[in-house]
Amino acid sequence: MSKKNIDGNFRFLTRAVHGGNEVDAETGAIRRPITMANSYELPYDPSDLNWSSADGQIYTRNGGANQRYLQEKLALLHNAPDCVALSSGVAALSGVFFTFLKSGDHVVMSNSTYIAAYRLINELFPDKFGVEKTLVDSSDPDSVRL
Amino acid sequence: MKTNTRLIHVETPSNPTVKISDIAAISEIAHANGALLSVDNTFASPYNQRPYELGADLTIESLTKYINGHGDAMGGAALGKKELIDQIRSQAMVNLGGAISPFNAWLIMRGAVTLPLRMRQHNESAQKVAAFLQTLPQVRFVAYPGLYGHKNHETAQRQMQNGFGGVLAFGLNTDHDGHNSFVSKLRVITNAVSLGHDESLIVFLGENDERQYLYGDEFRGGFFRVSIGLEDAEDLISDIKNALLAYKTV
Repeated sequence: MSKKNIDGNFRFLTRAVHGGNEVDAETGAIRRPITMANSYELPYDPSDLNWSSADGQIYTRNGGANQRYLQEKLALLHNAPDCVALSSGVAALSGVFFTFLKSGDHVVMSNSTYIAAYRLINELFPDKFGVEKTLVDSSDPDSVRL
Repeated sequence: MKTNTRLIHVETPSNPTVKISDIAAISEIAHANGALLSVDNTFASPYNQRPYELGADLTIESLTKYINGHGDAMGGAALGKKELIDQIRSQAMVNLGGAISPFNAWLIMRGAVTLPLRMRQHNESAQKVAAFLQTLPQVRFVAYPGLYGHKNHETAQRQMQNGFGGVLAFGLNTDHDGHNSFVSKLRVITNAVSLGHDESLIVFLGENDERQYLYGDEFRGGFFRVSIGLEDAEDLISDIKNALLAYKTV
């Protein structure tokens, strides 16, 4: 079976068509199928698996096949080394904020953003976690620098 | 910027005022201060703009919008170096539970195939509609990064390689009810939130919006955010013309 191995050497339109797709190993279908299963078969001895791992195939919340294919395509379209696909744009926003902010940190945010980013950084993170924030006119880099 | 500044977060073009922020300049400020820069790229899509190439540590996309493109599946993504994305995967996906459903991932993957073709049309039609709106006496203001009059048009030209996206904002010389009446007379452009769909969408953001105080003066009398879809631009222009003949003005 031939492997497409589409990489960053191909141009944008080619990446958009072929990125993340390969021939399905089991059926030979030229498009990867939808895999709706919640769970993946465990090894003979699963007792030393890290149940919080996002690396292996354990459970679809820890990473599923279609999520992985989509991530491959998006990373190619952005020329970025890695990608995580989540359930919504707001899951990605709140995921970034939750992952990288802790109590006592300060955030500089644009004063024109999607309402959920505003709600999270202007209200919820300050109220719940003691994160500080400053809203700035980010169209002027000097107001970000201040 | 303070000694404890951990993150700078911007959107460009921004929701809902299509403000443009200079990604390369702001990434230098972030990195000189030991902070991360996250850029929400939803309004641009990777066809027009790729923040990672401009120095952003984290790029955020609502896949629900241009990348899926058909208004029928929700998803989101964060992109950047593996050491950062691995942390998001572990914390936000496995432990917060924001995993995407396989079916939505498959739909978005199918939609994304035509992203460059759709973006060409969104870019072209939005530019046409924005230019048309500028000629109308009933229009109070138009905001679109592709217009020479946009405050940061030059920055947009530098960092948006293929075009300025399909979202514009404008206001009419009328009151609250006049804006709503205009929307009620549209036949092609749909009165609904979201953007980046195949069909054009319009939403009225009223003069009582809680974030009015953050916007420029022109946005304070109430305004529309419009997502220009894949219909023929001439039909969209006719739709606006016809609604302006029929709406109840002050």
